[in-house]
Amino acid sequence: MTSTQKAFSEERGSIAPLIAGYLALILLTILGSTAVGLSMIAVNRVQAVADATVLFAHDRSVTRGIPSESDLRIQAQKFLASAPSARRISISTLRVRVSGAISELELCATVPNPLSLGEISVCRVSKAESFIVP
Amino acid sequence: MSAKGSAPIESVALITLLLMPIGPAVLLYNQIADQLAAESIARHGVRAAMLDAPLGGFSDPGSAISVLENSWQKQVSGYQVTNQGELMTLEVKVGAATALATLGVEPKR
Repeated sequence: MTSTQKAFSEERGSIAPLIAGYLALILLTILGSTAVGLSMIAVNRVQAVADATVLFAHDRSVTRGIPSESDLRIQAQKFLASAPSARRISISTLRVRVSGAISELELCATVPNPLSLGEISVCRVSKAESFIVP
Repeated sequence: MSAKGSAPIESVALITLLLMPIGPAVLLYNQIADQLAAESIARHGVRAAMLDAPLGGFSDPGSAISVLENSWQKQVSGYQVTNQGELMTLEVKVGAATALATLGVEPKR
C-alpha cells in the first residue's frame, strides 16, 4: 500500500456537516442582505414622510418667514393623520422645533425587524426654511 | 470501512446544493431593488411635478418619472396621481413593487 492509499484509507467521516455549514452560511448571507434591504426601504419611507410633513407644516405655519411652533405641530399632525403615505408607516414619535426661521421635525416609526420577532425604531430628521427668490 | 464512491456524483450533489439558494436570492434582490426604485421615483417624481407647476398647481409627473426610471435603469409599469384636498399622492409601480408619496400643495398667499 502506498502512502497516499494509506492516507485515504484512514480518512473517515461525513461531508454532511460541511454541506450543512455551507448552507447555513448562504442562509445567513441571504437573511443579512434582506435585513439591510428592508431597513433601507424603511429608512427611505420614513425620510420621505418626514420631508413631506415638514414642507406641508412649514408652508402653513410661517408668517413673514418665521414659523410658529404650535402651528407647526398642529399642521404636522394634520398631515400625518390624512396623508396616504404616512398611514403606511407606524409612527411612534413626532417632535417639532423652531429655531429662528428654520422648522425642524423628527419623526420616529417602528418597523418589523426581519431578523427577529421584535420591532426596530427608525428616526429621521427634516428641516425647512422659507426663502425669497430675488 | 470502505472509502469507495463516485467523486463526480458527490461533486454534482454538492454543487447542486450550494447553487440552489442562488435563484431565490436573485428574486429577493430584484424585489428589494424594485421597491427601492419605486420609493425613490415616487418621492422625487411628486416633488418634481409640484415644482414644475405654477404655485399651488400640479403638473403631470410623466416626464420626471421617465428621467428617474432611466436613472434607476428600471421600467415603471404604471403610475397614478390622486388628489385629496390639499394633498397630492403619486403611486408608482415598478415590477411587483408599489410605492406611495404624498405632498401638500403649496398654499397660495
